[in-house]
Amino acid sequence: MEFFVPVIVLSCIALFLGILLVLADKFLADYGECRLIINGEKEFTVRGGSSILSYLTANKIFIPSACGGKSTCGLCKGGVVSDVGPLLPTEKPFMTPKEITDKVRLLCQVKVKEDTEIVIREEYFLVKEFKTVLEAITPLTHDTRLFRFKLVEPAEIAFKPGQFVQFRIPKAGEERAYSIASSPNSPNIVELVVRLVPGGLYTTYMFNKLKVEDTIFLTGPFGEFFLREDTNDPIICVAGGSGSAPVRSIITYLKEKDSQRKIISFYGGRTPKDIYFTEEYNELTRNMKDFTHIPAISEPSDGDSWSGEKGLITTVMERYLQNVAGHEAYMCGPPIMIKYAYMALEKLGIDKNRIYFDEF
Amino acid sequence: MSGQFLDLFIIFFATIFINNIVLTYFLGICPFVAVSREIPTALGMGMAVIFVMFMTMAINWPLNQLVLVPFGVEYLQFLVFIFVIATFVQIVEIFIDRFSPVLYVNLGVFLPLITVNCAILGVSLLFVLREYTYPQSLAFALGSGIGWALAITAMAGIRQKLRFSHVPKGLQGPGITMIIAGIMALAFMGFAGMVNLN
Repeated sequence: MEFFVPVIVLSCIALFLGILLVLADKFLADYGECRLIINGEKEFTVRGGSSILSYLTANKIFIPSACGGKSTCGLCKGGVVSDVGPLLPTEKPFMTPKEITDKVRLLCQVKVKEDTEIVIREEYFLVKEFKTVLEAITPLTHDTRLFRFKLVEPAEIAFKPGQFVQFRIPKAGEERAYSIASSPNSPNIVELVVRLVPGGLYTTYMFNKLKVEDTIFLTGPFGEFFLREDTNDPIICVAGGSGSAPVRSIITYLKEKDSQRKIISFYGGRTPKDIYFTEEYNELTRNMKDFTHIPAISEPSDGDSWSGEKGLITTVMERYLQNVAGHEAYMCGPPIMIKYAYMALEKLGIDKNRIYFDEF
Repeated sequence: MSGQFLDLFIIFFATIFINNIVLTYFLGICPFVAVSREIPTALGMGMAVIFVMFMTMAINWPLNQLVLVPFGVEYLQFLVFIFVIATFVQIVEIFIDRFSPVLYVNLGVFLPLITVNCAILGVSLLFVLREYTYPQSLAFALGSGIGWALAITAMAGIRQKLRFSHVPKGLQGPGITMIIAGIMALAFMGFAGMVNLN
């Protein structure tokens, strides 16, 4: 009997504290039914307490959010019309002064505690979740592969060349954004270029675990980086690393619609073994009216059998371009490359508002 | 009656100034250094600690005297006290999340970490050691909480001013904070001898 005393005492105390917590949860953490009003047109009734982002996702409205609500990517921006309290320290680093006055918030950080009205971009209503099957994996270089997904449900995706989709590993909370490398004219497939990041959770998974025939969910399309079609001005494309993906989509698309626009495309890699899509670009050069592709390597060594351009991509660009006023530029790659290519183009006289870029 | 009241007041006063829990016993030093960058955050943390300390004492004392001691299971003290502390930290967390999201984010991980704040467990263990009565324990807990809040708020005030002074590189952040804590402890020693708690 002695033996049971501590057990009973402890159980009773735990029960008492448990009841206390349940009561606190009921009276303090229960926000009741709240209305979530989106752009003044859609309305959901939700059980309050979680983030706006989670309710939108649950209701099949997909907002870009690569980090899965940890406030590290800063993508899930939206205007919050109702008063939900001041900007949080977790949101501040992602906001411009204008966004702060416009009451833009990170939707993953703002919780629904009463009726809340928000404003999001109209195109987010078009974003869908696609069930896909991995059809093929093609090695492009020693550390880069092309993944081809066949869309199952819905069977077709409508996107603009240059936009990205988000990739979700089953059971992992986070998502990663990858630009679509295939053309919108093949709406039933999506191709992604993935470069292995040593130690990276996602790329390691994609390189080592993912097999052909696996089912994968993609959401999209997202992004402000896409081909502008309201003009016929010449195009400059600049890419580095896995940034070739959206550029390939843009150029393939232009070829398929038999565009007459003049295109010059630069691709910068470190060594010859970083250069990919060479055959494909050669083929495009042969078949298109005015397309030039210039791959360049920045770290040539004596043993290389490299006959192309050498030097940093900005130096190479300056060799080929003179006055680029009236050109449009699409750049995609590491931030440092974008920064210097941007400065180089500006110096050559391009209109700043016509430089579009996507940093990886 | 007035003697008893005086006794409570002495305990209350002494735990705030003379035997300040963080500055003389160095209990609860971790959040004291970590969340003392800004006064509002420090004050919020202080309030949370006052609440948790007082409420856990209000429950721990009767639990100890009416349950643990009569049943002869005093060795469960640690476990039971931590249970109670954890429960109240949860309640505080729900409360702050509801009413001040900014404070909630600012306190971050240190809010749930109040659970393992040694000052709070220390207070619960000291009342057993010192054999305080229920009113004495409550005065002791309230005083300790206020003392801790006072210390961290004062520290935050000093650190806010410090932002504009030239601290040598190697001492920036926690380094200079520890030195300031030492100097504050010295200043609080000036109260020693006014009343004596053992």
